[in-house]
Amino acid sequence: MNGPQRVVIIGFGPVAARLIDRLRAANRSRRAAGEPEPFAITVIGAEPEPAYHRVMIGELATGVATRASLWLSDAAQLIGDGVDVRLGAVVTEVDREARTVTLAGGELITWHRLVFATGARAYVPALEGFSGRIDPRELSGVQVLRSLDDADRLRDAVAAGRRIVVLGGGVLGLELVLGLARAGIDATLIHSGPYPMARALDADGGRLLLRSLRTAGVFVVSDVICRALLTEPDDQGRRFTGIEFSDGRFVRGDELVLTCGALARTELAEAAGLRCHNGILVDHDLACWGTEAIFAIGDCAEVRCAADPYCPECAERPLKTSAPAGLIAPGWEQAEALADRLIDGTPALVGTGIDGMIQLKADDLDLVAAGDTLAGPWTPGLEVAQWLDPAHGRYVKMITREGRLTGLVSLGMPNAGAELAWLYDTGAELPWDRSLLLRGDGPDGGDEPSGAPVCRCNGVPKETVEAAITAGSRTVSDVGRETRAGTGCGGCRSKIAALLEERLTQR
Amino acid sequence: MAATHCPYCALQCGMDLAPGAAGVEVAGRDFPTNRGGLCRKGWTSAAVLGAPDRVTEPLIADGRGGFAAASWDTALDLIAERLITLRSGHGPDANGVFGGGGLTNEKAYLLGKFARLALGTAMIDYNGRFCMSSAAAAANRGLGLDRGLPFPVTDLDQAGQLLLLGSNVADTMPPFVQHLDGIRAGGGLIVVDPRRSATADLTADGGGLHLQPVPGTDLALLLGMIRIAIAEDLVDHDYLAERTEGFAALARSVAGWHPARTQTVTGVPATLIRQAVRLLASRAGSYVITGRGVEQHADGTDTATAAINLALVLGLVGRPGSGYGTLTGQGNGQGGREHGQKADQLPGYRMITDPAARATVAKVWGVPADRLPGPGLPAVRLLASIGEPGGIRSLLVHGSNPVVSAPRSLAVAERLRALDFLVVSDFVLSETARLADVVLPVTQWAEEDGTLTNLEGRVIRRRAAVPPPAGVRSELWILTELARRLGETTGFSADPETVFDELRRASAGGRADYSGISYERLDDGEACYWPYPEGGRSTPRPFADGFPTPNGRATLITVDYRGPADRLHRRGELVLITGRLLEHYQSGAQTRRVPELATARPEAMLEIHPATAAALGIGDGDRVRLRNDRGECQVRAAYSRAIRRDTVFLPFHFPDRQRANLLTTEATDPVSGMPEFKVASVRVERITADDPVEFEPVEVGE
Repeated sequence: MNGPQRVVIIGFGPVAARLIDRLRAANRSRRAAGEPEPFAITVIGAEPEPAYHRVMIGELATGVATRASLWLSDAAQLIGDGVDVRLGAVVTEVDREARTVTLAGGELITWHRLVFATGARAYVPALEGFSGRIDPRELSGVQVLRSLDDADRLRDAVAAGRRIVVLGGGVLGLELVLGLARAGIDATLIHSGPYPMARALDADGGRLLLRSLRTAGVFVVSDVICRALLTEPDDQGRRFTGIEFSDGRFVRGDELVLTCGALARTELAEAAGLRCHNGILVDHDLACWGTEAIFAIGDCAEVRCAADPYCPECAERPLKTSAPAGLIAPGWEQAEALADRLIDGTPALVGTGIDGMIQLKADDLDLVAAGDTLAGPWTPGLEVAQWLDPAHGRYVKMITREGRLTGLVSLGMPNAGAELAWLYDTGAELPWDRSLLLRGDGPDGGDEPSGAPVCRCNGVPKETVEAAITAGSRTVSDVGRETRAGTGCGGCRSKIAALLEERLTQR
Repeated sequence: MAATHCPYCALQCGMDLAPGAAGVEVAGRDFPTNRGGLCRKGWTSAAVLGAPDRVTEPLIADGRGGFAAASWDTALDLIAERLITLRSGHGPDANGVFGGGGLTNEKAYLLGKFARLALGTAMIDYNGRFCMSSAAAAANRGLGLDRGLPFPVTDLDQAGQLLLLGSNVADTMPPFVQHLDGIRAGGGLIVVDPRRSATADLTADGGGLHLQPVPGTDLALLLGMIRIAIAEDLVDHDYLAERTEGFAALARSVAGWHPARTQTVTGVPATLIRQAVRLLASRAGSYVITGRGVEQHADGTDTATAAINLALVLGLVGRPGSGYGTLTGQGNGQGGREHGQKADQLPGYRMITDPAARATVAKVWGVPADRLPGPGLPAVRLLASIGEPGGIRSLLVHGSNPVVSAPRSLAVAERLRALDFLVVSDFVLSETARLADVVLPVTQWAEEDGTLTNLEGRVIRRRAAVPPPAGVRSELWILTELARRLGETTGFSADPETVFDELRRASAGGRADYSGISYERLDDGEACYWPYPEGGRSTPRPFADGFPTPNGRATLITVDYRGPADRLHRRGELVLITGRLLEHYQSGAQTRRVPELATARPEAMLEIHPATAAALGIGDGDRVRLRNDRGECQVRAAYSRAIRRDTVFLPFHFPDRQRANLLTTEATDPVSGMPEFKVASVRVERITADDPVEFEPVEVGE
């Protein structure tokens, strides 16, 4: 191919940003070597802003994070570096034959490689009194939490001291209500099922989570089916005032935030004839099924083995649905794998399914969960170890196969949670005595070994100091002259003084 | 009685030496860094003066594995003849020089001049490449200047918070710990160390926080900390606007390091990381200090850069009562990196590639600038060039013991054996000296005058207390005599003050400007911190009025986390981390010869978690073998609950089969050339009684 490879990326979120950074680095290093740049990059983002860290949007809404800390890309810098950046631009059509995309204004952009990084949109359920369409002119006080605008709107509601109702017990909803509760806002969490995060947690973990949420000051309504939104007319249209459940109970509030999950944005791909299921179907190499030059990464993609029957690896591992997860780590991994493939042909090989981890990192609630958490101590083929102490809000479950984690829950034990998160992520082996992993959260971490010298700096044991006192030392300085104890950092002088006092008063 | 300083680490504790009937007597002297305190190494330092195997006459290898005594003339003539032959046969770069961070400023300076002028070689570097080079590179590119602590140690007495990364000061420089009393009393000490070291223990009982990351993930931890500071808006916006550049790009580069990700990579609870950042930002008086634990990695420069970035976003650097620094390790690790024994540097911390610097130094040396060679190879590559086409064929070693201290030391010893000619100047028969063709006996600290620059950038005087044994010479004399034999009859002197006087002039106008400092000023007790230009003043806090960069601002340099060179945590393997013990210093060549220290710590013990040990069938005190594809090491195991289960710790002070560096990798930092000493993947197994390999404990005191 003569000239640079034209790479067009549809969507400008964190995953696209990572891909662009990798491709730019390749351009830079070739440029530095005096060679032509391998890539001409175009990125088309629907939002007016360049990529920002969407995972942190809840923190922005509750004022824990600043807007400035969310930026992942700088449009001016990218443009200066030769990237064609289109913000607030919408792709209306993809032509696979002509290898073009069409923008809303009619402009055609050609490509050699096309990457879908269109992400996901919030799932909005339709309820009685609510069409399922977010439109403040029609119904105010109802919103999702997906974009910077959403976060700004919610922040205004928080600042106005309004009562917030959050519908949906996933990570986003939980982090939001915890943040609101911490900020002293009246917050209610509504979710279906017996406990929140029902897909990620086993029953013990779920029950304990429920209790921890209530302890943190969140009002939780569990196991309900929402029937209708309660609204009343206001000067523009109608205004949200509460939500009613199928059993007739209801909750009042001023602002409803829908955190009911996300749906992959696949319309464009579908219209272009690409296979889609929960997301745009891509093989292990991230190429859309049946294509060689079109790829999908991040929340819009569903990685699924295209081989029939499945390749050996997939035949061995249970197939998971894999899109969209709302987790950033797998998307970044895909972006890096795709960059490597585009740069030097390294075959991108990502696993099917999401090895993502759910981590709630609120100051007052520490939860890590990953993998299949439902297995119990007697599940055949697995080793499961548990520690459950509801009275103190602590729970750890480690599910392993051949010593490696296939699932875990850690609640209320920050050190165990961090260590297990690391073990799950790296695939490293657990100690056979699983209880070792619990001890980091115990108070017995700092025992001084018996027989430790009084003075470490000079290695002077207690007996030597006592002998000096017996031989006539009367002050800390005396002891220092005789034994060197206390003549290094001086940290043990109080210990020496105590020994002096003890010995001298005994006489 | 001589008022001097300790021979060991960069804290350079003040001590008084008095010749007595039983040898030299040591007493602590009130000096700001130690306030009269000394550690066990300092108190017993005089024992090395009378080491039983002290070399007191030149030795020439007899070709049968032994040495024969020779006169100085014979030895020096032989050296000169061999160096000249190699130069004429293979070019000037066939002769190499390897210096040390324990050499006085005068020796370091003269060694660099000797290499460049008398030998005409570019091939000089030093063991400081193994300790300070990453922190130095990071400070230079971020702050425009590398002065270990850009503030007096006593500033820490008034500090509120200290983030101490990868430094075990409670063992390595115990008297330093007294400067942390106030910080600990206020609960402000934050120690980052994968081991619960003696220093980490100082955070117990309300002294502060201990963050215990997975080895090799320090950079990720720092990126996560910067991210928290920015996200929670704990940064100092006025400071960033006035005194730095690059903040927007830095913020974008760390945006992805949200607490959960940082926790997953480092194993440190996100809540603890947050707590640490908030503590640092909560009150005035915060400091960030790094040590070798985070710097001796293939990403050491980037890690030190991230530490600097954290200090900068919090507005700490160059403000009264706060700051960033690195704790220099070797006695003259600071001065030793300023005066020309680094492959890429000329005196005054000048770059050898800078035409103006070359002209200035050449003028002081009275030679045309084109006589100065260009940059040479950094230490690891210098040693690796032996036996390679165009590599060095001879090596002069001063103040260093690379057989024990260099990474992958098995290969280093093999290479040194492959040299045509090896000359080692030392006061004992170190492991490296034993491989030499010629060993030259040199003076020790209590027998010589000179200057060192301590960890604060303060120039201090070393003073002779006793005459050296007959037959022992100073390195200044040796270099002068060798230079004369190589045709340089002027410009070299055996008198320290004369050499210092020239060093002053050569450094004038450089980054490390010593031109205003004199023996007279030092002997008058003036506290002289460089830069100290002639006619100017001492600079205890160099960033107070701005950064020595073209625009006066510090640069926030964005860095990425990639992880260690070795693949870690493979099934059946453990992570080896290395470090120091309280009782020993560096390669142990000195401290292993002090009976009290050798008795207290006669051998290397592998710290291993009892649970890990039990799974491997290793009992407390059992003999174990550590191995990887670079080498094999045999030591005893010692149970410790202060270490992670997947990690083992081995001190690097011991020779032969106990050398930790038999296992370390030659992978180096791309910016600084620093080897990755701090993490290596190893297998550990118990040595059984019927094992074919004999276990040989090292003799104490030799």
